[in-house]
Amino acid sequence: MNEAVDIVELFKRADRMMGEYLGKISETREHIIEKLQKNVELPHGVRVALKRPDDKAFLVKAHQDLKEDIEVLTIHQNSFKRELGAATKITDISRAEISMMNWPNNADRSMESVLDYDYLESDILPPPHVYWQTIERDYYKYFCHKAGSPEDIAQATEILRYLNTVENPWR
Amino acid sequence: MTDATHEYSAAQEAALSQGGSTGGCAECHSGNWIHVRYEYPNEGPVSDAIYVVQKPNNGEPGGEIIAEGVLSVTEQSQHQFVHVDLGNYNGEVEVFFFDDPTEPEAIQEPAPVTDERAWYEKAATAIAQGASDAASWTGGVLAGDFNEEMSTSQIITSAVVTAIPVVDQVADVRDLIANGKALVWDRRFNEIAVWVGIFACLIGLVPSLGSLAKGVIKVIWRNAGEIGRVLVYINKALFKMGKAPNGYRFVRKLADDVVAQVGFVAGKFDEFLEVLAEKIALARNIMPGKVAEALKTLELVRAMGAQKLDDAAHAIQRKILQGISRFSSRAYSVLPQQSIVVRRATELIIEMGPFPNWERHMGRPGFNRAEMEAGARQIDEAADVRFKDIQRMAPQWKDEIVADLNAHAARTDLSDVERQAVSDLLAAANSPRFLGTLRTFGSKPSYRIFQPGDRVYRVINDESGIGGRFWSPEKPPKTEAEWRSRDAVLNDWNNGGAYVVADVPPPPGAFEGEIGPQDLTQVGKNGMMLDGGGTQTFMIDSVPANSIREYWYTEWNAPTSALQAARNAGKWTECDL
Repeated sequence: MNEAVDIVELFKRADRMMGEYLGKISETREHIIEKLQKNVELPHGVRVALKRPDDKAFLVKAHQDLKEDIEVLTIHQNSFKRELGAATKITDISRAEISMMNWPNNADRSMESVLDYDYLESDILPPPHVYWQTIERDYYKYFCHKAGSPEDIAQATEILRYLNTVENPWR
Repeated sequence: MTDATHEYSAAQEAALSQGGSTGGCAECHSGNWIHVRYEYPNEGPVSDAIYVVQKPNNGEPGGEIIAEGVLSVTEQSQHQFVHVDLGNYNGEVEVFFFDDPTEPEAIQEPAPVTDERAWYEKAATAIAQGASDAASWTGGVLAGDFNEEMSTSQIITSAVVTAIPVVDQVADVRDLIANGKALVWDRRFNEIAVWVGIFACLIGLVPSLGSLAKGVIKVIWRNAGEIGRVLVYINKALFKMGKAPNGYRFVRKLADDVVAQVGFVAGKFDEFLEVLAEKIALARNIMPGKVAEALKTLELVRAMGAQKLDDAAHAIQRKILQGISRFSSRAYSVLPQQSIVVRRATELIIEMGPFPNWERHMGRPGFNRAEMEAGARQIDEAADVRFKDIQRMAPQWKDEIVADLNAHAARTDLSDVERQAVSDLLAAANSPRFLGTLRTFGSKPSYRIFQPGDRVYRVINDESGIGGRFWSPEKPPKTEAEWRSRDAVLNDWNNGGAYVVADVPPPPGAFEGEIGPQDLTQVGKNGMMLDGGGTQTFMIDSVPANSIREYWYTEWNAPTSALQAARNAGKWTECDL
C-alpha cells in the first residue's frame, strides 16, 4: 500500500508539473510579445531557450506556435487526469504511466520549431526533458518490474485499488 | 473609322510584321535575362497567352513583378523563345502564365461620353419616367448585369485603344439606368450586384483608370474565369500598339484602386442622384404621391450610397484577386540565363519535386490536426505491454550503448574522423535527454557513423523542421497512413506536407533503429495508437541548412497540374532579339 501511495503522489506531482509548465510557456509568450510590441529586452532565460531570439519574424511565429503548443500540452494533461480519474482497469494505470513518461517527448516534439535543442537550463522555460528529470528518476525507482510480469500486474492492481477505495484526486 | 480604331489597325499591321529575328544577338545577352516558351502538348507554341516574371514567391503568383509580356512565338515565327530582360535583378525568378484559347475580335469603337451632365440626364430621365419606360431604355438588361452586346475582347481591346477616361454613351447609360431603376423603383438596396453595376459605370470617369478599369470590372464580375482573356487582350493590344505590356500589373493594381476610388465614385453618384432628383421632381404635379415616395427613396439611397459603394468596391477587389490567383498557372522558378519551356500535359502531373526551395503549399494549409491520425489503430493488450516494456527497457539500452561506444573508442585502429564521431556519439548518449530519446525507439538502436555520400530524409512542416533531430534513412512512403503508422508521427508534431533530402555528414553520426509505437491518448484520442516499426535516425547534432539538397512534396500533399516545366541553359540564337 505504501508504494501505491508514493506512486499516486508521483502522478499528482507529474500532473502539477504539467500544469506549471503551461504557465512557463505562457510567461515566455508574454516576454516575446513585450519584445515585439515594446522592444523590451528578452530575459536571459527566454533568450537561451529560443532558436533565434534576435529574429523578429521568428519571434512572431514562435509566439503563435507556443500558443498551439499550450493547446497540445493542455490536452496531454487533461488526458492524463482523465485516465486516472476514470481508472477502472489495470490497463488504465498503464495508460497513465505511459502518458506521464511521454510528456517530455510530446513537449519536445511539439516545441521543436521554437526551442533550441541544446540548451540545458532556463529559469523561465527549462527544456522539457530536464524539467522532467525528477519524475523520470522516480518512475524508474517504482516501475522496475518487467512489463506484464506478475509483479507488474500486482503493482498496477494495488494502485488501482488505492485510487478506487482510498483516494482519487482526479475524481 | 475613328482615329482611335485607325491607330489600332495601324498598330496591328505593324505588329504583324514582327516575327522575330533569326540571326540572334549575342551582345544583347550579357546581362540578366531568361528565355520563356509556353507549349501545347504537341510542342506547338501557345500564342494567346501572357507571361509574368516575378521575384520568388514560393511558386505562387503574387510576388514582386519584374516583367510581363505577350508570348509572341507562333508556328510561323523563327524564334522559339521570348527574351525577358531582368534588368539589374540577378537572382532566381519565377514565371507564370495566363492564357486564352480565342483570338481577339475586331472592334467597333463605342461613342465616348464627352458631356457628363448630359449623360447623367439621359439616364436620370429614363429612370424618372418609371419602370416601363426604363425597361425599354435598357434593352432588357437586368440590374446587376451588364450590357453584353460587346464581347470580352471588344470591351477590353477598345478600352485599351481609347485609353482615356470614358464612359460609353450607349452601353453604360443602359447599365446605369438598369441599376438606377433597381434602386429607386424596385428598392433592391441590399443586392451587391446592383451597387457593383453602379460602381462599374461611374469608375469609368476616374481620370487615371478610365474605361479599361470599367471594362475589366464588367468582365471579371460576370466571370472571374475571364481573367486570362482580359490579360491577354490588354497585353496584346498594348504590344501591337508598341507599348510596354502591363496588363497584369494594371489588373493587380486595380484591385487596390477600386477601394481607393470609393470616395470619387461616391461623389459622382451623389451628382447623379442630384440630377435624378431634379428629373423626378418635374412630375410632382402629375403624380405627387409617387414622386414623394421616389424622392424619399432617393434620400435613403444617398444616405447608404458611400457604404454600399464601399461594399461593392471590396466585392470587386475580392473577385479580381480570386481571378488572379485561381486562373494563373503556378509559378516556375528559373535562373538568369536559363530558358524555360512550360508545356501543357495531356494528363494531370503530380508535382512532387525536387524543388530547390521551400514552397508555400508544402506547409499544407488547412491541415486539421484535431482529426484522427491517418493509420491509427486501437490499442490492444499486446500493445499495452509493449508500451510499458519500451519505457522500462530504455535504461538498459542506454547502458549497453554506452558500453558499446566505450569499447569502440578504445580501439586503436580508428581514424581521427571516426574517433571524433565516436566521442560525439558518447557525449550524446550521456546527455540527460538521451533516455527520453531512447523511449521513442521500439528496440535498442545501434549507432551509425556517417560516410561521405550518405543521405537522410525528413518529413517537415516548414523550414524550421530542418533543425529537428528525428530523420529517416529512406524517403516517406506513398500514403500518409503508411507514413504516420510506420514512423509513429502525431498530427501535432508534423502535418506531413513535404520532405527534405540532406547530405550527411555533418553531423558525424546518429542513433538508428526501430521506431517505437505512440499512444494517442496523450493527444486526447483515447485508446488509439500508431504502430511504429519503421527506422528512425536520431541525429546527435542538427543537419546544417546548407546540407539540404532537395525539397519534395509528400505524395499525399503533392499538387497536381496540367503543366510541366523543363529548364535549360539559354542560347542567344533561340529568342526574339
